[in-house]
Amino acid sequence: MYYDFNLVIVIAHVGEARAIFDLDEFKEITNSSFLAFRKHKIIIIISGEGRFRAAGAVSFAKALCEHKIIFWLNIGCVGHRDFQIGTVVQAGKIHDQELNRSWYPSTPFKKSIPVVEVNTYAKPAENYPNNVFYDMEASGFIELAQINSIPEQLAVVKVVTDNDSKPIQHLSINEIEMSIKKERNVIQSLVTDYLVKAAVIAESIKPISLPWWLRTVKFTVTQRNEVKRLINNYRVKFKDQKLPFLRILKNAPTRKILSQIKREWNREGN
Amino acid sequence: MAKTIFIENNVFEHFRTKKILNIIKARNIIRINHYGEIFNRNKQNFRIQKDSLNYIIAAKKNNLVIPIPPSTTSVKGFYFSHMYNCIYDCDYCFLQGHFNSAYHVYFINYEDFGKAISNESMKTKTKIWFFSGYDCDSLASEKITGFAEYFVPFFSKLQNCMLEIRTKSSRTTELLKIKPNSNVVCAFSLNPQNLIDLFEKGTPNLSSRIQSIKLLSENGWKIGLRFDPLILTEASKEDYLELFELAVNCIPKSNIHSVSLGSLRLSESHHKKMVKNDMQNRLLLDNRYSYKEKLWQPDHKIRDVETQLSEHLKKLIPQSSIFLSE
Ligand code: SF4
Repeated sequence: MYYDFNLVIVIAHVGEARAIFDLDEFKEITNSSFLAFRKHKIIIIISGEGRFRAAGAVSFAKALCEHKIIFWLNIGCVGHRDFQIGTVVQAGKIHDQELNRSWYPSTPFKKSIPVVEVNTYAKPAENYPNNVFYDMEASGFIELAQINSIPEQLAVVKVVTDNDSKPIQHLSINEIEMSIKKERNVIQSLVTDYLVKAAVIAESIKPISLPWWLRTVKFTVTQRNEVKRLINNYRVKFKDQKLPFLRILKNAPTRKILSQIKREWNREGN
Repeated sequence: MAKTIFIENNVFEHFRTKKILNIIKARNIIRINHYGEIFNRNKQNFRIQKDSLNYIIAAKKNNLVIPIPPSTTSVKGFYFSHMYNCIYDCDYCFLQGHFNSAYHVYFINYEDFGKAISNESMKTKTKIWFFSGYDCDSLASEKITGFAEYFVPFFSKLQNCMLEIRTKSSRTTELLKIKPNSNVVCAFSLNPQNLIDLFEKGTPNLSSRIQSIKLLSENGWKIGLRFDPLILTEASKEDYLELFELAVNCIPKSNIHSVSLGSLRLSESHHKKMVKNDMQNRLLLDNRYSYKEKLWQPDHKIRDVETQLSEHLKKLIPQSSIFLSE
């Protein structure tokens, strides 16, 4: 049984989301500030265009998934001067041109897709002077998603939808969505891949919770951390055996309770 | 999983970068300004990264050689790191608590390291030791780094400097191509095979390390034997006595430069971080170890056995210098 987590996928436009997922199979999350869908562990948030909207979608998802470990994925389109339209890439670096800041998401996919640098701009790129990939959302997405996340909880997948020979100004929304739709199977397999990996990581970073009979004891933060450490030690030593119940004296000072736990759980080991 | 190589802009065209890229053959290259942007990020999990390694190629700018705190050794010396992290995965490795990231960092500005070493050597006439292999295994990645290939000849030119190359690797291909010199000691970390199986994931087995020691000593290399860390909670005194005999008898005693024994000890902060990162690591939770004077260290019963072992070694090779970490 794996620890509970969510995979939050932020996509700028609902058409792009439809090009990849059967949204009919998802349940719409109603009464929310963003168009959002849920199916099991996956939550899709339609952010709208630009980095501020992407950041807004991340904040919204954080509130939605409170108390759960979140894995983040931004899917969208990018332009590059000479990469073929339809190439699926993952970001190893995201650079925000306005803020002049960089972030480094993980590259968790088994499938071999190129790892590239994505540069986020405030406006759609009219040409592609540098050998990087041009987008409008990734930096806003990652700037917020990385707070309280390890890099392995962050990933960005993009499909090349425009290049020098087909610049974005000459493309209709339909054409962009079609380029994404053609890569639907690849992207879906990446999502599945990420889910499998997320389950393993979530298990190893899951927080330790106190047993019910200790939850009402008013430990200090340091004492609480010490109790958690003792719980973990017990589990490792006794191969995930259930923690033995201890009769705690009502109104006993927390210091004494902590010593009692240390004594008793060590004794179990002798 | 796609392996990525992050390369600092200032070494992007460096010949050693090209050599490394040739060997690693990673297709995904990302340019960066400074390795710290990735390596020193706060929220990282060493254990998780160990399963999905990436590489960084960089130039080290500051602290190229670092004085060894006098409390840790009786010899005056410095350590220097041409690499951060290691291809092996020992359960007790302090790097898990020392670094935020498990990515391998290759520092390729060897000439700058060389200058810093020369500068220190010129400040004194007495013998100075330089230790590599503090933040990595010195030889395990030799094929990629070419570390020994550069530094062994370099130290032959320095009269008053000694280099200790610390390793668990049994790889000798590159070393055997280099002319050994009396200023360089190849120091092998050894443990009984049952401990290697339990706690030194990915490292060569004992017999292949012994074979390498033999081969190198036959080819004129000075050998250091490092029984470090002693893990007396899982191996017995007899296991170690057997190991001592095996190691000492595999080479002529005159080729043994020095022998040392080291306790399994960690700074309190490293130990705490390691437990947090790897809650399943049994070794780090042993009751016979506890915090004392900011160190996670064994109880006096274990220390007593360590002292007995050191006495035994002195009898076995009386002419060699034997150190037991304090
Ligand atoms: S060989 Fe040394 S550096 Fe490498 S993992 Fe083991 S203890 Fe750490």
